[in-house]
Amino acid sequence: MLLVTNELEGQTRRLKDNIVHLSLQLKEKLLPSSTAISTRPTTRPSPMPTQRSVPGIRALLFSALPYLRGRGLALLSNDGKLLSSVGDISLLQTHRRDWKAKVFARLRTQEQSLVGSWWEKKEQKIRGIWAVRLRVKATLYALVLVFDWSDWLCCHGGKSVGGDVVFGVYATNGLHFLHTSKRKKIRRSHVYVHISKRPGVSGFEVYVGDDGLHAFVGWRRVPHLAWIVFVRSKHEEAFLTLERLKRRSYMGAVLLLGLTLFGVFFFSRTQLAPIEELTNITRRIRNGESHLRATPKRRDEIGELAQHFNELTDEVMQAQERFRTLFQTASDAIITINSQQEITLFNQQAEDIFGYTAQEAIGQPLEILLPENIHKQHRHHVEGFAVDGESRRLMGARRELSGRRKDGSLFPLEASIAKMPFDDKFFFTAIVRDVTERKQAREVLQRAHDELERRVEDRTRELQEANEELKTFAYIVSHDLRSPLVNIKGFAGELRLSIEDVQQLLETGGEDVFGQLSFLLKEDIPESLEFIDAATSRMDRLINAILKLSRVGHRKLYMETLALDKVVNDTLISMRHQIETQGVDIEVGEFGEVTADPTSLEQILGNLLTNAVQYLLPTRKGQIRIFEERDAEYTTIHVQDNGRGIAEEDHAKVFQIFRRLGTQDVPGEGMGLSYVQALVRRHGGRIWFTSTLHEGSTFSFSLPHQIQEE
Amino acid sequence: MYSVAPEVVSLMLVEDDPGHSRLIQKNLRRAGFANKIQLHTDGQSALDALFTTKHQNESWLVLLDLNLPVLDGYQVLERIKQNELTQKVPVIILTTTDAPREIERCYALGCNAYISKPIQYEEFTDVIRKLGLFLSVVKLPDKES
Repeated sequence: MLLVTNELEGQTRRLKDNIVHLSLQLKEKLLPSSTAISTRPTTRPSPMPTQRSVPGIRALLFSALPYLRGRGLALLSNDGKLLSSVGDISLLQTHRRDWKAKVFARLRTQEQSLVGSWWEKKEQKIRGIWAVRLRVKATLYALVLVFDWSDWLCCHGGKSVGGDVVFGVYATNGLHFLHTSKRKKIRRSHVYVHISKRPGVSGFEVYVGDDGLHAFVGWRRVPHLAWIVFVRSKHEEAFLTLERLKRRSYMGAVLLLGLTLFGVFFFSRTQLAPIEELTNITRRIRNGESHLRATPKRRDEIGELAQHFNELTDEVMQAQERFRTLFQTASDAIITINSQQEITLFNQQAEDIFGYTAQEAIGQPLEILLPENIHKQHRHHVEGFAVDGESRRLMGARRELSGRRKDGSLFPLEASIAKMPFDDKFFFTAIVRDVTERKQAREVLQRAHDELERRVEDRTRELQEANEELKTFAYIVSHDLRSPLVNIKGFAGELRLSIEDVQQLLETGGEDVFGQLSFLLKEDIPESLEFIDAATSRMDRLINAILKLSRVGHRKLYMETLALDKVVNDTLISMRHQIETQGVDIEVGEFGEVTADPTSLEQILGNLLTNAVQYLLPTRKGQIRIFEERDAEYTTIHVQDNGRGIAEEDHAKVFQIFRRLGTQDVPGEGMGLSYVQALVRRHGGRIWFTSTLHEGSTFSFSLPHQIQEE
Repeated sequence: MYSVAPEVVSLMLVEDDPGHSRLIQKNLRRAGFANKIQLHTDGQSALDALFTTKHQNESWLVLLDLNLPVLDGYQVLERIKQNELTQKVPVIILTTTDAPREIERCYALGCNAYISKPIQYEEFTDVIRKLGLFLSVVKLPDKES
């Protein structure tokens, strides 16, 4: 209401200003600047029309035109001719009226300077003419102003023209013409005398007339003519429109207020109620009643809004459902935290991994899920991430991360974190995966890999050793077989030489033929034959030994479960004579069972025990100990003696074929240990020894519990 | 050049195969090698003899087989060449193998020559004969130097 009133007051003020402005404008047009100039010829020379020629008058007219609010000026001669005109003077004579004729009719009959004025009011415009008599050298002329006051009167609302409006031209030598809208007698002297006393070019004032009435007067002096053009209007008349408008405005305001109140009521009934309902539904949906929808009763914008609201709600619900499904069924734990790093969401998988329920976890600081030693660092890390440029980051890229379960146990995890801006802060979503199994699998794989690598290395080493052994074997065999060959060839050659000698002696003869023949036949030749015989035998033995060794690789083994103590005892019994002769103490340990070929096992034990007994030191009493050790895979049998031992530098040659180390006081071919080694290997076992010269040796061999198929 | 008094040089034959040593001796004699020949059938006895007789002011040249009992040829060679007293004693390896590996190893240990025993009798006698000729002219380092 206050607003409306203010608005009206503003309008009123603007209207008032407008009127004042227009009046000023009018004044400007009607009363051009320059002071009034006397037209009286007697007083002083002046540019009076009476003293001028017609062209001079015409020039005067032209110069005066811009100061007159009119359409045109015309100069008429007394014989009815239009001598000169400026502007639009078509109003002077139309098919309907003939104001020109009226001017001529009065021009001669009246003595007054004003010939007359005629005007018409039509379509809220006032148009008309003023005619003034001019006498130049006894010739009469009529000067006619054709005017059109439309604008001014329009601004006054047109209708007010019916009031007391006076306009006229006042010349210093008297009133030239005066016009009132009501043809009312005006006390002529009063107003123009009042104006004529006013100094200045133009003026505008509220004038209190002699009748005590307030009037509104604007005036301006017209240069060259010594005229004052003025307009007077009654004060009430002048502000009538405004007052009326004011009254109407108040009425309008009241009406508007009523309308507004009604509108508000109507609006709240028709427009706000559905919106209220929407708001209500939105709130209820948010509180969990997701099935609720708005009911679009109308077909207007509100109805459309409800429709859109429903569609949007459906979409939101679907999106929410999709999110919920995704969130709960994701195979990774999904946890969101706010900028204070408190847990705000915690999915099913997170519950499974960390052992907290979502209810327990939500609202808790994220640190409950982390090992204590990284709390500070992690918080710092997340804060750093918040201000960082990147939007997501893989955690633990540089080192392994651990999580902490509810029960306090730690587990390896992989996590990525993403941030989302919310207001001016961030919240974070972490996706976490328990990599315990993967880590274990990787470790198992690594162990298997290492084991495989180790076995490959072992196998490679075994192969290299076997290869080396084979080379050595080939070398030894070639050397040892060549030795007797050299003898056979050599003594065959010697034999030939001896025979040549015999032949030569028989053919040529000479001194002591008998003696020489006797030497050759009794010494030389038999010696050669002996050597050949010995070499052949040796070769035979060597070849047999090699064959025997090679047969180990081919012989079929008959694996049996054997009571080891029985095999050991049988072997010792077969060596009883030797043992008793040497006076050796034998210590036999506790034995279990082994899986082996009985013949092979007897040969192995027999060889090792025979060696132990044969290579004792004569200086001290022999002591031999036989015992076993068992682990998951192998049974290992040790034969320990306190005999002469093997020099460090000879260790490499112990298992080589045909090699006999140390003092050769015991007969043998030097292949026993090679044979034993071959037998042990056939069983998938291993043989080795430790020995110190002069202190004793321990030969050990292992047999696997599980015989591997070849 | 008998002025170098080759008769002073004694040959130490280290050979475990009696047949081989008999053949070598026979052929050396047949080639005219008349100097003293001392036979050892194992490495240890050869070394013992070498170290003891060293003090009797005798010059030795060792003809060494590789495959020997007690101490083999390599060990004998190594000990001769590592001992300051005996390192100048010339050692000629005379053995049945001609494997490059063995030859290289012997030279690495410091042997002065390596001869392999040919199987063919003619070649064998030829080698021994030439060896005998060589031994007759070889000049040994002065013991005092």
